[in-house]
Amino acid sequence: MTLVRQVLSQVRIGCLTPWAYRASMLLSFLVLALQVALFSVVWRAIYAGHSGPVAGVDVDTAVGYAVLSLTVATVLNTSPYSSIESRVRDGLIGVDLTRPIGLLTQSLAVQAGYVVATLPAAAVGLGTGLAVRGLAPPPDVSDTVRFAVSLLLAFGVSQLITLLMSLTSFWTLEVGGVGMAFFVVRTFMSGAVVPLWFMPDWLQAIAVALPFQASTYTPIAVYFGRPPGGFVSAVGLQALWIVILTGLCLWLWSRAKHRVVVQGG
Amino acid sequence: MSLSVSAVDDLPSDAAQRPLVRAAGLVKEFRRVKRVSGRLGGLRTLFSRDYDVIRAVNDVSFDIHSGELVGYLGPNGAGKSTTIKMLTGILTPTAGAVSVADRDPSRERKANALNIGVVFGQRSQLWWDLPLRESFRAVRDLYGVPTMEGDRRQHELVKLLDMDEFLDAPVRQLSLGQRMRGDIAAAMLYQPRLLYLDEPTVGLDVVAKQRIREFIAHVNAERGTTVVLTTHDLEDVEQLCRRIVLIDHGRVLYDGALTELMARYAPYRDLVVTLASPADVAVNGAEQIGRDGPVVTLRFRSDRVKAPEIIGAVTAAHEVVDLSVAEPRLEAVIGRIYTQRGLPESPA
Ligand SMILES: Nc1ncnc2c1ncn2[C@@H]1O[C@H](COP(=O)(O)OP(=O)(O)OP(=O)(O)O)[C@@H](O)[C@H]1O
Ligand SMILES: [Mg+2]
Repeated sequence: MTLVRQVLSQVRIGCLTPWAYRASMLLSFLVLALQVALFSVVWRAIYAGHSGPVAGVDVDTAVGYAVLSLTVATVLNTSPYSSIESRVRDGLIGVDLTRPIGLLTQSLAVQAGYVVATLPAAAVGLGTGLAVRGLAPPPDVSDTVRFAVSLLLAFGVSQLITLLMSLTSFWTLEVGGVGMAFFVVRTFMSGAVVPLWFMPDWLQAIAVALPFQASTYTPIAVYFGRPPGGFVSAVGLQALWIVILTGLCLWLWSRAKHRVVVQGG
Repeated sequence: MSLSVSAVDDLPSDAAQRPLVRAAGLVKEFRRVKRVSGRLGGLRTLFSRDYDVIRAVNDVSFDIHSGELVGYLGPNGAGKSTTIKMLTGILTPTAGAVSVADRDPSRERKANALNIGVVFGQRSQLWWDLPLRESFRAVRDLYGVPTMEGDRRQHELVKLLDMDEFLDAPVRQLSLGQRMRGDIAAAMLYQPRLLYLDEPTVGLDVVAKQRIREFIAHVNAERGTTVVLTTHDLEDVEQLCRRIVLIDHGRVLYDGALTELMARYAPYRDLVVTLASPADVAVNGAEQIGRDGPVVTLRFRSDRVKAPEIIGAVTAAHEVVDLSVAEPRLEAVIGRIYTQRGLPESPA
């Protein structure tokens, strides 16, 4: 009961915080709409020079993938401004640690709040997708349900990836550019820009071995009825990543606790 | 540098009562990795095994009893904030033991959190981008304050600290003094037994400082909240603290009553007289320590001679236009301790 109240309060904080910068929020929606429109134009142009599918993917699927992946990535792969990283840098982590709630619980709750705050982006992305006739609804109800299940797991995977990344800041505080490198790897390897289908085999092998694809690529592949290795193994892999990432977060945090350095004062 | 003075003697605490806070032989060492310069310096620093050890707190021990208001003082870099961080459980001591209400704060961080309020003057515990009201709401939820009770306390605090005007402003827009009031209120919303205040008056104007001091005195007297106060403003200390713990280089230099420190290291008064015509003044039992035209400053041991005697002797020998007796300032005593980096010989 107390824990529920604590968690909800942090979700609320995470949900309200990005909206304190309304203009930047609205701008990010606009960027998403633009991206969706441009990707749809570009894919159609590429396919115009081909007859038939590329890598077994027809033009509608390629465009639909772009619409969905950009939307899903925008909503799920948030990077909360108040992540552990910036809080460690400013010494504010000390404040978080005086709270009667675990740091991981608190961070996940705030991150979840950010995702809730970004939900209108889904309407923007999908709306734009429909407007440019880039998205067809899934064939039937069971596909929709499968998509929903995989999307829920993707939410878990993406939040744990964000958390894991911010936990590394206890070690990497002195190294610049780690966050940026992570952002690039995550965006690319999650399949948010280019579906894994179009990647050469060796790159696909790398992407499959990393957790990022389970946060974006998998649910969308499910949507288009081509889950990697079949639906069950695709969601099974997502669930496995949730377990692994949870374990990694707990392990990193138990290590970090001993070397928590609260800056300044 | 041990002292026989024990502050607990003159405070209303039962000998059998367990101290609320107990620090025993506390040590905190920081490792500061030596930066590697040159190509890929940042990355090489990450894997470097080369570091300096900084002993920020070096064998600190003290007990604090329920209801006390203790000033924890020391020059910059003395180790005050580091000690407070160990008391709150956000840093684990390198050696020694801490207990707060019979709990090890770093091991039972969450349980300890419910007992303590923490205000770091240099940091804010409030949510920067949101209205102050939202921070209060979040704190009440985090600490499980019942709704009605929370409304009542918030109302009381808002009135006491005069926060009505800016309750709906985002914290980042608040002035320093407003923010500090918000921070202190947030720390009191759940009525912790123990309040750590690390420089709560830093950067505030005279009126704002006074308001904060009054509030601290109020919660200590009315609620019985135990307060550990760190500050560089000695007026805070003079007005609020009966007991001080003085540290430097991570070691305790003095732990005892404020009056005792003054009596030991500044057992004098200064008599400032303005004469009708400039002259040096020589009277028994007092020493002339300064003269600026007709204004002469005499210092005398207040434990040996009485002020009226000195005044009598001066007025008998000179025509006096004006006079005043000045108490020694804590600032002078503390200043001497800081510059000598140790306790001065007590003038015998
Ligand atoms: N995270 C850290 N890493 C390395 N050294 C640190 C760290 N935090 C504090 N120190 C060092 O420990 C010593 C004590 O610092 P601390 O912040 O406790 O001082 P303080 O008494 O609060 O001083 P001030 O009055 O200036 O706030 C200083 O020498 C400081 O440089
Ligand atoms: Mg300090």
